[in-house]
Amino acid sequence: MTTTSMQLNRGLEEAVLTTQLDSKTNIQTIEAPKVQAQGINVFYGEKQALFDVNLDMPSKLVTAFIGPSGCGKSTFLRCINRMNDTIDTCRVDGKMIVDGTDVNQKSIDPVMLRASVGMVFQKPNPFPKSIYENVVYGPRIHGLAQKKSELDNIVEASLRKAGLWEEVKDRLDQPGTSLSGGQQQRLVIARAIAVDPEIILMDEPCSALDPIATAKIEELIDELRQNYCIIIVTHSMSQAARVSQQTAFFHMGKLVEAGPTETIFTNPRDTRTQDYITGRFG
Amino acid sequence: MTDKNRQRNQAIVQSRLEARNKSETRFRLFGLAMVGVAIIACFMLILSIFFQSLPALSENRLVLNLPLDAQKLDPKGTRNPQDIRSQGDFAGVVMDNLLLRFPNAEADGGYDVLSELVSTIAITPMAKQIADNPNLIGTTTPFSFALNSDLDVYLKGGFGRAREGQFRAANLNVISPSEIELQLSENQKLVYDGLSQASQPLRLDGQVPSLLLFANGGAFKVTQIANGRLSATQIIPPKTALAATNQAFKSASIKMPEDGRAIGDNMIAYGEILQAEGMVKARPNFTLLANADSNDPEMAGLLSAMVGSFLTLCVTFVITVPIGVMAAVYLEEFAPKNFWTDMVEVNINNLAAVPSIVFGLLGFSVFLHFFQMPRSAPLVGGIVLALMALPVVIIASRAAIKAVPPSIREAALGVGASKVQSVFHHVLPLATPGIMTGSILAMAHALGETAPLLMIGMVAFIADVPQSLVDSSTVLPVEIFMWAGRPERAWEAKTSAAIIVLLLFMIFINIIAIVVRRRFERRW
Amino acid sequence: MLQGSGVDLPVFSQLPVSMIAFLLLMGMALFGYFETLKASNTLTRNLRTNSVAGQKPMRPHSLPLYHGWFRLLCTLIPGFGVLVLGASIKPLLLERTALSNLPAEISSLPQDQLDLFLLDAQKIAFGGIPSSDTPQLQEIANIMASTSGMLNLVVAVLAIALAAVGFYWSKGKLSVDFRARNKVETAILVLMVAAAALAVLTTFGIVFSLVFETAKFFKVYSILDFLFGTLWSPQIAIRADQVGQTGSFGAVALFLGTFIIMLIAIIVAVPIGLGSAIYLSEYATDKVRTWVKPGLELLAGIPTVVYGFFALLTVAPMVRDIGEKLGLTTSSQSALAAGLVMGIMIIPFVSSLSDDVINAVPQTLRDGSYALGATKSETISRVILPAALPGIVGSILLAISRALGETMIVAMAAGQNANLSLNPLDMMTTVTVQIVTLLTGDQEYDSPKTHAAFALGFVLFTITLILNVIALRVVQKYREKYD
Repeated sequence: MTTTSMQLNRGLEEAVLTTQLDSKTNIQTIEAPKVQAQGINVFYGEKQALFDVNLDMPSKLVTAFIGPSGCGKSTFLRCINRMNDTIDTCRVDGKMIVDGTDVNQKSIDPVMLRASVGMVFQKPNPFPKSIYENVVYGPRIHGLAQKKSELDNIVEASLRKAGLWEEVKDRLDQPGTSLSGGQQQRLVIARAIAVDPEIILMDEPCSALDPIATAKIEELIDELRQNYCIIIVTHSMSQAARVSQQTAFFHMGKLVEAGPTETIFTNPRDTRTQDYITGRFG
Repeated sequence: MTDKNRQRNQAIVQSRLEARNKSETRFRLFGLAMVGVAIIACFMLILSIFFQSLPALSENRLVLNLPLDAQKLDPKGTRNPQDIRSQGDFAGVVMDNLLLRFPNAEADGGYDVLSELVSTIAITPMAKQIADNPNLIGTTTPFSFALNSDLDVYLKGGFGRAREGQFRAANLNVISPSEIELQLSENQKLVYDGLSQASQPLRLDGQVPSLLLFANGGAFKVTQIANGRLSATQIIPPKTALAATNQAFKSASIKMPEDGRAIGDNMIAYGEILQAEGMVKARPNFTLLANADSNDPEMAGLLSAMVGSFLTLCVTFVITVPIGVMAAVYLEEFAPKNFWTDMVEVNINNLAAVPSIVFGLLGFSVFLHFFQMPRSAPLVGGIVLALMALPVVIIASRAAIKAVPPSIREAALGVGASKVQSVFHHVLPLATPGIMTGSILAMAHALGETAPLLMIGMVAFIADVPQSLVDSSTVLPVEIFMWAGRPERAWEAKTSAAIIVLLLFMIFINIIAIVVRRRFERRW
Repeated sequence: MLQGSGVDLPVFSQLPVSMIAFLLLMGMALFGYFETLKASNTLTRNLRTNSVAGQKPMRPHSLPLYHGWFRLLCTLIPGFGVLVLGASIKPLLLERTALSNLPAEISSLPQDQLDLFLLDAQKIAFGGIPSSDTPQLQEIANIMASTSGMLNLVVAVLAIALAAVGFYWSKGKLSVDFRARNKVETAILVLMVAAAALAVLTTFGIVFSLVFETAKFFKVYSILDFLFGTLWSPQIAIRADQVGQTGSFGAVALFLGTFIIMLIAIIVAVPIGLGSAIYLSEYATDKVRTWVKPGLELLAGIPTVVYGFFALLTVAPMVRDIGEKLGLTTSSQSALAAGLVMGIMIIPFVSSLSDDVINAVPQTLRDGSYALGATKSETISRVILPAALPGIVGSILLAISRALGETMIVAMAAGQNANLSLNPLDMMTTVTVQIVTLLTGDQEYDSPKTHAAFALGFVLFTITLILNVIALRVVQKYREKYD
């Protein structure tokens, strides 16, 4: 009982934070948090990787997870679309509420969940198919469009949103792997957008890219924010500062501190956060 | 607008979810079924061979207490082993003893059956024993002989072995010395496999199951059945006359019709009586391991083939391993990376996939014809198998050498060792477990190889254990191939048992490989 | 003495003389090794005791061991070289001698009879059962035997002489500066190159023997009749002196039988092998995998003759019984039975290679697909299998090559009749079975039957080689892509 109320309190506290944040960043609407994590614990076999994480991630904002490697930020991200299901030894406790539903319930089909939660990985992973086939993969398996014209529309719209249309419109039938690293990553983002998800998870999306490609992706993230709830894991603090409005700092499997990005970077409450941000460790 | 779109999408995804999950399940079950089929095939293979081999574990032997008559066994009276072996009438001694039990056999044609009970080859152990101990002559000594293989198969349940029954005859007429007729008593049941298909009266020719009757030490073969009335001919006369009423009979119904089997009803009748009277006894069978090959299944064993396999593998091992390891060391450590070494590598990989029979052709034309080496020799077999195993050993050794981290080489070179020294003092010892494992597994493969050895004449009938590398010999898998093609039913069980022996050797070799790997392998 | 040296074949007929030469060589080499070892040790010690105080003592360039080995090799290499060379040119010289001594009526015989004559003479001279025995044969045999003995002696003496030269020359080589180690290492290197070359030599041996014998076959039999003829009946007795009357060697039925049995095997093996590989790599838990995978690989370790027996005694009767129940006429041996069992045999080839290939598909592709909401089966069929396709095709090609070259199963269970039929319930025969049948009888080496076997072998070798080259290339390219 008490823990639940504590979590509620904490949730309220963060809702307040979000409000402050929004007023600062001049966002008109204050929406209810899109994703709410409540008491998430993750175990890999015997080893516990995450300890009681509670966090709200609002819509139309970019939330960044930072922290030293192995701190559990990617593990937490993979809890949101239940990607941890694919690892045999992994066990997740706690509630992950997406749009008011706890997705960790047995009755929730991860297929359904993942159709509305897109994900982009560290290494660009286009399928060994044509650019076109890469983009229509999601709509095809979910049966969102049947006709060629519908699919064509989806491809164009998705690639436009990902800022790749102009570069590839003449060679849609070439393999996705023939693109450069940055283009591949944008292709992957277009592939995720094609099923029109509400949330996009990004797991260090720029760590394999050069600075120019990184800049493009960051620009893209900022644009996409208008329509999606974006959650990004990054090892680069400057990237977190550039693209995110809310930042959460993880350390040793615990969520140390979360709040508006500015606050975290300028006035952290926890000394560990301060140490990390100032480069004492990590 | 997007929200509307999203809702629509969600609805579509939701509606298709069930069908997709079903197809997921179907797909998974298909995979599982395929694994199941593979495993069932594996079990069927091993179990069918195992069960077929069971009859070969025991053998029926004819046990006789033979008075060893000097007149017959040593007519010259020299007591010289040579003379005894060449002059002694051992089969006659055995036959005389059997005739004591079946005195009428000479008159009624049973003589031929009796003479087939024990083959000439099956008598040779007795001949050898007596020749080696001439003072046995004149004594009465128990001997046992391997029984005719068809009878042995029958007694172990082959040829649709008899269902046995018992009944009493209400009345019995002796029509002639060799024919009787009898009426079954009320409420007596006749056990006979052919009854169902019978139109009455039923004539028991060679086309329907046979029915044999036994009483008072005699045997009869039923020729006609009509309304509980049986006509039968005598095979073996009873010791005492049959009673006219209420005579008890034992019956044996043999499902496979006489025309369809290698063993006649007469032989079966003799076999049943000998077994009932304790002259035929089942014993554990060691001929398989103790004897060399023979044309008589009851005397055939694997000894010559096992020795042949051993000699052949020795040649293979001695050639393949040093050459394979040297080649691997060269290619991995010394060879420059250029077109030629690439070609050598491609060549080795392809050589490993060349059908084994092509190596047989190579052996036939190069070793037998060009170099005029002897046919059927373990030396040639070993060389052919060595050429076959060579690429496998090279590939395995290269993998093992590659697994040794470069830091070891650098350390050796750093203290001033030459390249050759660094390889032979450091890399090779560390790679040895991997090389040994690969080589041993290649030997296991060579042990099971058959086709190329057929080409170089190792498919000959070898009744002697080979003594040297150039003696004619055969190997286990080829022996299995030859046995599988021989007609007598007993070979089925023999061949299965031989396969079990071969598989046991292979398991043994594989266990050695596993032990070597477990004990000595290092992971870097 | 010269006569007595003839045993049953050229290599071994040298035994007494050559054995003495061999032992002498070994003795010399070992003596030289220890002598130099001792001398070299003394040299090292002397250098140390004679060194000026306070200065580092001088050391010979190479360790005594290497000086010893150098001497050993210097003795053995020329000696053995001569022995081996002698043994290999001896058959040629013998034939020359025999030919030059032939009486006119023999040397005017046609080539094949001449060959037979020489073979018989050889058999009389060195043991063996000749096909005929005439005074002329005896005479030539005597000449051959005495020439052989003479040659043996000459070779042995030459070998010892050359070895002795090496022995004395290398003795003088021991010095402080002499780089014995480098020389020995070069020798080792040469030995290793020779070992690697043997693998290449084997391939050449295969190719040459196949081409050579096949060419002989096509001299007497038309290549078109062989490749496109439909009648295969090599059973017609062919005596060596009746070259014109050959049997019929139209191999189409063989090719067809081989193809159909291979097809059945592939139809069995590919779904089972691929299905198992997919299930084991994508669905099965670690525990299941650790038990089932070795179980499947066990199938690969079972000798083919065991499969043949299984096909002959278990599967063929089963196929016949089922066929009879369905009202089909079936023989006790059938292509179907052989194909089914061969399919079981090649399951592990398909499954383990496919398993490797599927595992080589990067996890990130799977993650990408799952993250889009694909189910496992959708991910497998739409992402993993297309990505792994080249590798899987490669593994199937290897399996086909394996099935084409398989001998024992078909030899035991498919039958010997060359049936031009498409019905898998019929008996069929294959290329490999006919090679075995043609070569396991007791016939002369130089008969069209024997040569026909090599022609079949040549076809088999060529096809499997092409398949293997393609498959290995495809698989290698695929591996490089994801490495």
